[in-house]
Amino acid sequence: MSAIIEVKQLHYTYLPGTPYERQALKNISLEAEEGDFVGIFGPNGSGKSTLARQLNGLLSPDRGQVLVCGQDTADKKARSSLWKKAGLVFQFPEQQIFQTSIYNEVAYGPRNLGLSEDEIGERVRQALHMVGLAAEEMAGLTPFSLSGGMKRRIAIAGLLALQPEILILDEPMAGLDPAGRGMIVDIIRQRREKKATTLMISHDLKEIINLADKIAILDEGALVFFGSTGELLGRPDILQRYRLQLPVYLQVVYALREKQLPVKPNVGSIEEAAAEIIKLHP
Amino acid sequence: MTGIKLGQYVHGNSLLHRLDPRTKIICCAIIVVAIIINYRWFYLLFFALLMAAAIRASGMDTRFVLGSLRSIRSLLLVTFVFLAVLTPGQPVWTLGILQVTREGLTMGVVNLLRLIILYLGSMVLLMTTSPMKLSAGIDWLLLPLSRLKLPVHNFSTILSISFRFIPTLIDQAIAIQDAQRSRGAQFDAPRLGMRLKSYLAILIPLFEASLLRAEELGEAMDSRCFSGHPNQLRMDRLQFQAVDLYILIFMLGLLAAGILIPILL
Amino acid sequence: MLDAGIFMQNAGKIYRNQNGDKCALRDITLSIRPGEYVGLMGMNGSGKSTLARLCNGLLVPTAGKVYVNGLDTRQAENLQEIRQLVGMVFQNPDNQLICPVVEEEIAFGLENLGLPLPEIRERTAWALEIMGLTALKQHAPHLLSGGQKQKVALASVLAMTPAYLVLDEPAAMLDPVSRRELLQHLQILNRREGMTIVLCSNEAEDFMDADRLLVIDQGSIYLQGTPPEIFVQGTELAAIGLAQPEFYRLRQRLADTGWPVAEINNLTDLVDLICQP
Repeated sequence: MSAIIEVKQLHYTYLPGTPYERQALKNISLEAEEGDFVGIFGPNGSGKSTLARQLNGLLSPDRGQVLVCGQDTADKKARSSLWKKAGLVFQFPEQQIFQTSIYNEVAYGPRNLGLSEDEIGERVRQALHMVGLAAEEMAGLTPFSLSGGMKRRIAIAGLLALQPEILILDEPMAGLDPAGRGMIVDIIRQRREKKATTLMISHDLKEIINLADKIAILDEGALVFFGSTGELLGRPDILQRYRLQLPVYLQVVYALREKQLPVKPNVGSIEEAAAEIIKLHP
Repeated sequence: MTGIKLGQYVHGNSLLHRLDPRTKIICCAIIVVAIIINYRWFYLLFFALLMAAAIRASGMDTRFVLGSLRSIRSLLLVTFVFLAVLTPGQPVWTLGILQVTREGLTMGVVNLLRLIILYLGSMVLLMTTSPMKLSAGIDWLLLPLSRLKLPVHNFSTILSISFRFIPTLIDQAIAIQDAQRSRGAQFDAPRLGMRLKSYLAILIPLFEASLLRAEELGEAMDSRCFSGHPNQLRMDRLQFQAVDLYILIFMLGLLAAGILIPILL
Repeated sequence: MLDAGIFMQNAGKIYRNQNGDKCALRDITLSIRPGEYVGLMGMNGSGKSTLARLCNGLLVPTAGKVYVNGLDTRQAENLQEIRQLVGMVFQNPDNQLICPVVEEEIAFGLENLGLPLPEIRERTAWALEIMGLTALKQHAPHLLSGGQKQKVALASVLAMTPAYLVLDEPAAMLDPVSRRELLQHLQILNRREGMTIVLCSNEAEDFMDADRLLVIDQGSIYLQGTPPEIFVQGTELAAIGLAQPEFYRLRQRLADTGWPVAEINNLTDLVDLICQP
């Protein structure tokens, strides 16, 4: 299976030649297979959002190469139509809502794809369904009077309606309540089942630790870790340095293992952890 | 984030940067008066050279700023041509029904110089005075008006909030543009209609965000007992020094000379 | 009623608009006494933000009364004093900072109170110090991170030396590290400076330091008690869309099989318990 995303020694600098020059990405190399779910972590300003923009064609490398769906982003023509294949959901995407009806807002992307109205209607319905909203009720309402959480769902639906092969989410859970976060996790889960590639920039390792195929950690533009979740769990130094919190049940399990108690380390849920603990004192 | 823009404050430590903003604002006012009441080309040329020297002294790239005069070249050209042709007097050159007069040429040059002086003067002011200092200076100078029960402090609060949010608005506009591009908006489409529609996709969300911002800022300001009081801390940082006084005296001297020259000559 | 504290007596709030009336709060009776750290937990739309705004008179009740240190919030002449007593920090870091320089932002409230310049300087320096912002005092706000902006917002409220501090989901838009830092500051303010704190959030984990927790649902107080008392009620919380803290979910699993975890409220204690033979 060939990689759907290949990043090779990517370098990128903002505003070169001005007093505001800043090297945002330094020698990044990573790849994602089709159907992977990749989590991208790192402190503020580490270049995560810049990397996301490199992957959907908004930016192109100064040095190095970025191949998305087999296409080189150095080619301007390829870049200008890459948005159809790699959908990028920005941070606080509700800020981009501008249509007067929810239907038109979600339909904006598909309309730009040039699809028929029937196809658009179907896509809008499906996309709203994926974010937990019923198209029949919501389609005619105006988005501006809705709560922040609702607007977020509609904005995400707008990108889902493009049905992109790759979905990139930039901190989609920021400011969402537990129900909203659950919705995001559901979307990721559904995409994984359909073998659709997803990348998510986040600060919260807990929510996705059981779903992620690969994890990338950036720091000041450099890639300090790229590997599987299992490999990351074996690097407590990195977890601590970047203050990536593990779920409580894992913290308990690791604390117990440190005290030499016989618990298996790769538990995937609270139930499994509880079962392991109960086994210690039957 | 964008690079250095014309007319935007550039940090520095030259004499002009260190002058009190009130001095600079008053000098601008003096210059405006001086060049209106006097139309001797040598007087105005002196002022134009003074402005160029000021730019040099402020540590800015002189060629860059002087070169930027190109951006108003149409205005300069139109002004010169209209005055050259429409001023009555001794004809110097005729082209059909259009007559270029000697007086016209003189007036053309005079007003060309006036425009150049105003342009360069405002550049010096804006590029050597930080927005906060500028609004503090305006605040102080408008203070007497508040005795007339005019809402001067509210005006300076408006200025201050605008300065504070301009970078934020720019960043937000860029982010929204990127987001809409990622959904297929075409900002450099060949058809004007498509481009306009795409720009609406930036303007409407920006407007909406600004309305929300205004509401939330209002709540935050009310919660801290907003009452339109003067900003003492900001004005206190304005320090009038000896050099400010010398410069003001110098400029007033130039103004006086401008008034006296026509009388003496 | 001249007792110190924030008191609500049968307070209700109805919003009237073209689509009909919306009842945001109904029949709220509560007291917040000086020195307490009270949590208000609820989903978005539960009414907790409305409740927070009743505390400093940004909103006045359409039914019942709200008193702050004996002052009725419905009387306009009291509002200046009430807002000095009750400082408020909001959710969006950007939409609270109005001045182009951090130092001026902190002095903003003090300027509004018409204090003399030397006192403004002193209080500003103190507020900067207490929030660890002295190095940033000449910075422009748009260059600060979200966490730093919220600290500036908090410092600018603290400079007015309020008796009560109400925070409406202050960490909702922050990354986890900044969130924890902010909550730590609140804990220090409460324990060391005796500041009364009212914290609104929909994250159960935010309330670990609170003395008392009120769970709000559809405009009413649904549950009340200490955080441990509330957190064990997993089913009740789930019924209104709130998540029990992870730790308590794990604890519940163990309790269900008879483990003696009733007094265990943190990870270290739990690990110690498990390690005992």
